Amino acid sequence: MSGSQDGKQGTMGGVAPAHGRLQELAVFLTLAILIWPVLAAILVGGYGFAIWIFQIVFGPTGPAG
Amino acid sequence: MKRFVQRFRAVASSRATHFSLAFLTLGGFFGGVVFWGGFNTALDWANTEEFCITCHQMREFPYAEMQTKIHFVNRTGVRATCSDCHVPKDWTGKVVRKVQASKELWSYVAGTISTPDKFRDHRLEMAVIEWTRLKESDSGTCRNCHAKVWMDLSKQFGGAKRNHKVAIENGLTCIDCHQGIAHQLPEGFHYPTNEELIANSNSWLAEMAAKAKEGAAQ
Repeated sequence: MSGSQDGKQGTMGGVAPAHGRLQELAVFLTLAILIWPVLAAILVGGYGFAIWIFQIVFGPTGPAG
Repeated sequence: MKRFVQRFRAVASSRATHFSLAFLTLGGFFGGVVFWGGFNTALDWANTEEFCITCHQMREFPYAEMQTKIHFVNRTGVRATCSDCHVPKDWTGKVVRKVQASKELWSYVAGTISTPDKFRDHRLEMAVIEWTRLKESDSGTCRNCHAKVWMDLSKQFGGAKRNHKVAIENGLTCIDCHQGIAHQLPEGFHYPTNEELIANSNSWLAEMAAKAKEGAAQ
């Protein structure tokens, strides 16, 4: 992983940043607006599927369900 | 493309050097709020009657059949829309039902019930699915609005008063008697009598399920 490129742990220690401000902003926005939301939707859908299959095998939960 | 992904991952997995913790966490927090609100808004939009009847299978059959029924037009003007009866209100149940709707998307594409004849042939099978769901949840979606504990039997008359008393005393659930409350009943359905229900409240559904299986095998 690229974390190992940062030789000193915990401080910048005078090392120039490997990437620019714009790149950092672009990655941040892509993660926050595209990747995490899509992943969240997939996880919720996966949760729905898992319960669907569980209920096919074990039947649904009782009256409050 | 591969290099782009590599560079993206390199930046993503490194610590932020140009933006503060405050900016990043606030941005992430707002992103989460917008996503969660948007997700649930979309989920609720897919629960509207307007959405459901964009498919002609729903518009021309169940929706059309409901027009004269009490859950559509009545004395008080309080009515039910598709999701009131067919989608559970609790979040988990709602999500499960929406995921199960993938089956319906498939049927739409495959044209399983796209003509009056095909719809009629599958009507019993579809009814059994819904009746089973209601039986298993003790008529959960009915109880979103109605409940025996809120029924003032002294305000009911004749058949309603008598039969609800039987239902309460014998632990019956709404769907045991109220089949066809909103849509046309499948051919070959007959209402179970009170005696039959008191003896075994599940036999009517078992009989219908068997009939549906038989029909599907043909």
